[in-house]
Amino acid sequence: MSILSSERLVQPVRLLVALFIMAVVVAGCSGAADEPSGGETSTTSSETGEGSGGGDSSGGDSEETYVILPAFEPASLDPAVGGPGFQEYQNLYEPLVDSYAKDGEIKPLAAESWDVSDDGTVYTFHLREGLKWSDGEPLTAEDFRYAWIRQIDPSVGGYTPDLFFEIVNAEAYLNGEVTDPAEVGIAVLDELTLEVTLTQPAAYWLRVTGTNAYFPVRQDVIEEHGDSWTDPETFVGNGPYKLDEWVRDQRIEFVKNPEYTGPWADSRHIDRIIYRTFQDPWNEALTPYEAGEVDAALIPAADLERVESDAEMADNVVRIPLAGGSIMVFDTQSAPTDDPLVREALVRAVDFDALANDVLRGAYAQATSFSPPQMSSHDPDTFPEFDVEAAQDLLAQAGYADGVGFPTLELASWTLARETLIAQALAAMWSENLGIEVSIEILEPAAMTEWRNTRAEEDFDVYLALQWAELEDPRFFHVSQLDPRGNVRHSGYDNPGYVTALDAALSAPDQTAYDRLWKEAEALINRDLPIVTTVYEARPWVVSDVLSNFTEVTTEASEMIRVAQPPGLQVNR
Amino acid sequence: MRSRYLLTRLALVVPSLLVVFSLTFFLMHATPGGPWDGASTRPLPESVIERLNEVYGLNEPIWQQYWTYLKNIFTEGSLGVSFSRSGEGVTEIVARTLPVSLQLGLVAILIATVFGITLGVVSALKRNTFTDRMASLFSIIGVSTPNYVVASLLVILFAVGLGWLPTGGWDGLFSINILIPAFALALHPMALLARYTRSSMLEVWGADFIRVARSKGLPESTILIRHALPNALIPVATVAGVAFAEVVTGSFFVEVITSQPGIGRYFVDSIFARDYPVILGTTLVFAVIVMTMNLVVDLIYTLLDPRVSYE
Repeated sequence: MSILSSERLVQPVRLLVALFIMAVVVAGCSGAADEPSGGETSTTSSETGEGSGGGDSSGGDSEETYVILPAFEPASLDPAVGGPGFQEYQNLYEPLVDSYAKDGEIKPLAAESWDVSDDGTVYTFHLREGLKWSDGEPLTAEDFRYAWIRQIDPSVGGYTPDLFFEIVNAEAYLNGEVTDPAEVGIAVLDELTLEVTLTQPAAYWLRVTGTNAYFPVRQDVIEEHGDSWTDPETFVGNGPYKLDEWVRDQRIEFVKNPEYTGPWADSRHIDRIIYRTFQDPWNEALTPYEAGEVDAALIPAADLERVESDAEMADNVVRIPLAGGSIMVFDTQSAPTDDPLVREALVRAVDFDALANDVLRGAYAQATSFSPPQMSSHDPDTFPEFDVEAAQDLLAQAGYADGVGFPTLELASWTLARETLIAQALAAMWSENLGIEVSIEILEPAAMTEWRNTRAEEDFDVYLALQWAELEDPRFFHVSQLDPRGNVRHSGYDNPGYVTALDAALSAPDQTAYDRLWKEAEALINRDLPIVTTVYEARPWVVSDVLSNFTEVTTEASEMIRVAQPPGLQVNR
Repeated sequence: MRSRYLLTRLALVVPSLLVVFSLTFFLMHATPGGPWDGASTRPLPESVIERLNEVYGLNEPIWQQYWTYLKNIFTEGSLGVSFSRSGEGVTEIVARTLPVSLQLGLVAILIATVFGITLGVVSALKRNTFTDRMASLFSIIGVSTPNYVVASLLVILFAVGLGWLPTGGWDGLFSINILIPAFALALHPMALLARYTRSSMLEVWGADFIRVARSKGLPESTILIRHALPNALIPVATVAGVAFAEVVTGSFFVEVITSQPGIGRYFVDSIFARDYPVILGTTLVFAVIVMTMNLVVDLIYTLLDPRVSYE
């Protein structure tokens, strides 16, 4: 065997050459598409987020101003199938009204004005004249009607058709009981007038028309390009910005839409909005922020203390409340939690202040009522206060003095870091303050959802869940959770008094009556405690000096929507 | 004949893939939860879920779904459409993300090979010296540190601390963005290759033919490069091939930490999202990669070592 032959050397060399060729070939396959769009990304690295932000150079017209923000990769930019998650849509499309104004008022956007019939069921929208799509084509009432019908089209498979169920025949159309879209209560009276008929008066519905589900889309573009109509080459929107580039799993870039003439036309101080997408922008953006690569980042609870004591970052922390929070759901149909005394004892034994500020290190806000403070139903006066002695008394009245004879309380939670912490804290407070045993079961999220869906038939004690509201309106916090005719929480709460209060609120013709009725409904929940909010969302963000007025540009309902238009935004770059 | 062996191996690929496919299909349907659970922050009403199930064919009996999916693979070459990425085909997702993971994997394995082999050779030649001990320490650390720890440390050190490199992002094969993820992925195979090279080199270094070469008066460098290394690297080549498959299929954490648009995140994400077509598609792709690399390793073995043949 000629081991000493010099040929032996050639083999590893060949292997390396082959590897190199493979590398070049693979690079050639995809390299061209991944070219960076320009100098933006490379220049950013030198502009540290918490640094001076380049001084007051905003006056320079030649320089393009830009911000880089963390975001989820959107499932799609099509409002019908995109689902939730990419709230930055609001820069690309303009709905009829602005539902997210800081002062809570509903303001005109694409609709210049609107009339409501005396019985509160017919809404007539008058569109602004001269509306245009980003390709220069005129925008008409028909574009809205087409988009809305598409949302409830059973063949489209959208995620948010239920936001249209107030409209006559919308639910029937989704279920195939009505097949002619003309029978749905959306009618085009002329190019600029849209008439919507509701099944009953609903004071909250006007606000719903400001959500992503109610954006207009272009029939001819969708029919011509199919699913790829949202690609940058073919995308057409009517918002203050338009899609310029979308590199999948990397970034999405918006630039000013030159055809836009709406209310925000003159307050677009940023030429280019770059969203850098992350798997989980809530937890992954802080490191790139510290490296100066993005202009804003949500601070994970574990990092909050460090960031707040960091000399450079502390002044740039802002808190943005969100309409939502963590909740715990009691089974009101089976022992021991079917006893209202037991439920009140359990709630009074929880120190909600310590839960939000110590256990979760102040990354969330203390819960003081069922619905969050941004909602008109919020009513801290009727929420039971933390009082260990009172809790022990209540438990004794229920027949379990000092916790003796109380069965082990089963607490179900899921594999989210925060929920796990809450579950452990609740268990500790209950066993310490009431002398009862608590066992915790932790499930993976999708498995938890399935477990929860089967609770309609099966007994449980208490489980944890998250609840957000699309809008800062009590309807979006109460109905899906507590209406016994179709709720998904399965607490088994069936107080007829609550159903009456809820129905009255939903069909209230005006806002004053609406708010008052919700307060009455909330008082019942704070008394009966079928579902209790444990912490409110109060997201701590750190933002670069470039976005010095960040709190002004976000809405309380959904963070980072329309980061670039609203009044008062200062661009320091 | 080598070609006959090759044909047998290739013929076995199809049934193997079918087993992988069937196991994955039934396991994922047996897992609690469905694609619309947790898709939204707010629970979806019954009627909406019903509609979504209908649109995506999830109302059909499970055998029917199994058959339809399988049929579409063979008749249309289609792996289906993602549930959570509306309208995007699984084939498109794979075509977009796999090249990124392959490039990352290749760079990582190149780094691992060059540094790992060098380290192993130096250790073997300086056996039982301080250098050898240090190299062993490095190997043990490298083998036992998970790549997500390495990636995080590199990001903190080089991106946040020193500011020399970006925290992540993909900018093509020839950009500095690739350095952190590639090194993070490379450390484990590098340490592994160093260990293999060291022991294999020690074995060869004591062999008779080396003594013969030395007695002929050949310089040490010639003995090392022309006679010792080619023989010592035979077992190493097999390890490198398997390591490549491991790097490509196990890149999830590094891809997430450094924002790489590779296939790893889809593989893991799809399982949490119960995105059935993407689970199946990525699993099949990974199975193909592992099988291909195993086959390539076996074939390379015959090229490198004439004593091995598959007659």
